[in-house]
Amino acid sequence: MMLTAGLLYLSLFALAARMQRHRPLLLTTWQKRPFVAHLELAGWTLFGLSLLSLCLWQDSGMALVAWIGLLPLLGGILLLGMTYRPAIPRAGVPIAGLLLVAGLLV
Amino acid sequence: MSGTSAMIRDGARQAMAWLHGWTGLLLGHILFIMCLAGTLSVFRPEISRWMRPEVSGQSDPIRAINAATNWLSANTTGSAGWYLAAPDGRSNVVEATYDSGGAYFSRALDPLSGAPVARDTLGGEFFYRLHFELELPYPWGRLLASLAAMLMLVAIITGIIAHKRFFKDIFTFRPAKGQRSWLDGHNALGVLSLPFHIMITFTGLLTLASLNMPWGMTAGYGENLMALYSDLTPGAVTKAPTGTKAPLAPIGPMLAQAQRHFAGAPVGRVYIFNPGDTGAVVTVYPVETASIGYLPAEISFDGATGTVLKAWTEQRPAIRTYQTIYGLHMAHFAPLLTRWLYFLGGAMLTLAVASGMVLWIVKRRERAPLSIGNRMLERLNVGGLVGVPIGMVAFLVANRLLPLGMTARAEAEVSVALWSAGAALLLGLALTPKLGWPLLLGLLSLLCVLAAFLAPIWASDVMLVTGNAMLMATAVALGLLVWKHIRRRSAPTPVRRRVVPA
Repeated sequence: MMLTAGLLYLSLFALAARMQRHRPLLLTTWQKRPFVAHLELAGWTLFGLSLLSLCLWQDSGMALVAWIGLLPLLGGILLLGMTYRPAIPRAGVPIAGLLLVAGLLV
Repeated sequence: MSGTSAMIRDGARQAMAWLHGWTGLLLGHILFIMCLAGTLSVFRPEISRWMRPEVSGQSDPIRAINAATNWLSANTTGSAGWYLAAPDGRSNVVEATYDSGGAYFSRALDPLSGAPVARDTLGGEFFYRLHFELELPYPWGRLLASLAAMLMLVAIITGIIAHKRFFKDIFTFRPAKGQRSWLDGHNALGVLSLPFHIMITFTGLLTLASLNMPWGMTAGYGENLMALYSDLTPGAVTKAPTGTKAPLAPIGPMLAQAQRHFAGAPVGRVYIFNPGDTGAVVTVYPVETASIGYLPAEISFDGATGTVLKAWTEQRPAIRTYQTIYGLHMAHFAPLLTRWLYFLGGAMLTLAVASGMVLWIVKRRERAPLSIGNRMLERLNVGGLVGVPIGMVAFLVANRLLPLGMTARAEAEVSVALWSAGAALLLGLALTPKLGWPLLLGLLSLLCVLAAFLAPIWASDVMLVTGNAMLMATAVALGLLVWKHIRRRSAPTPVRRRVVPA
């Protein structure tokens, strides 16, 4: 669950940050970095990886259902955060990174 | 060539947008009731528990069924059957349906004493039945629900096609911008949770497939429904009553044997046919939480002697496929976190329907003065979209206020819910929307506070506390909404001036 949630959040963040409208809010001073050009590819790759990570679950059917539920939850956090408190989705990135690492270790 | 294809594409999009709007509008209020009730049904046992605060005892399923059958043996006469659902981690009562002296009863039985719980209520079952029966007689409620689900599936598919900037809109919400905000909100609610919306609508439609597409069954079986039933459940044991009285054999050992047969899975449901007769049959089913697709299995005992009559486990792929689809919709398999995710998805679907209804009006008002039909719809939105939740919370308040010993108490709670929703609907139709929205939302907020404070607010049962917290959170959110609405109304309206280029 942690690995899937981490990958999915990072993918949604990258996909949102690739858009001109959201870039200043999400990337702040990192907007001019070279990696910005590859955010779309990174976002879709992470999205695919989050789906692939479901194979690691004991019951992949239940995992897929959880993934379907995680999508609006994490997307909702990102969307509402960008609208009202941009610091929240930014703070979500290191948390998602930690979840990813913890998920890989556990 | 590319110009022609662009024209076709745009024309198709417009046609889809038209269909999306009308399919959503036609049964939008019915869909709103179904979605809201369905969302609450995710926590059906927990709501039932909140509505029966007196039951604090927890008993294991076998002991609870034992207590229930002891009570039923002593207090029913001439029963044709007792249908019992055992308590589990979520529910703490035995849900019993039985007949006695020619009358049918549906009661929650105490897990320790086996007697009916003092507070007679439908509990979460009210929301569950409302979700697909809409408080209408069989089969009309289910048919209407099926039709609404079909329209919703059409609305979802046309919504996807009509949507120009599908992925961009996932992350865009611009508040306080009138029509733009409503459109953003509707799009985000629809797109973010799209896989859930498709899954829940499609599986919901299939759960009622035997009703809305019965032709396969009638082609195979005609009017012979018993043949259909026996083919569907080849494990069922049917015995006619002999008329010779015989006490029910001790049920505990039968349940323990059934549990061993189900490889340790706890007992879920117990049906006792012809109790007190030598033709009694006890059929035991396991719980439905092991996997998404509930695997039908059953073991039947001779009720008078306790010997095994038949044991059976479903293996047919078609039925297992159907059970998986059904299981996906019912979410009985879901652990706590997944249940909350189901709740979130359902809430987003409910809000998508509601925002679509409001958007229909907002969009037309910004173009031209509203027609009479749209003015009626605007008021219907106020009465319907707030009246339905008012009825639901009034149901909870009635649960706390109606006297415990009242006859037909459970039915009275439902009447309170329906009358409250009806009154709110009329109020919404009578008042101008500018007054109707804040008034009814404020009333709903107060009812939520009342329902929470009438409960034992700091109870030790975590489900009671969670229920109260949810009610209070809803009240606060609605209160903020009303406050914002009033503040916006009292603020001076900015005058729009056309800028004339120099």
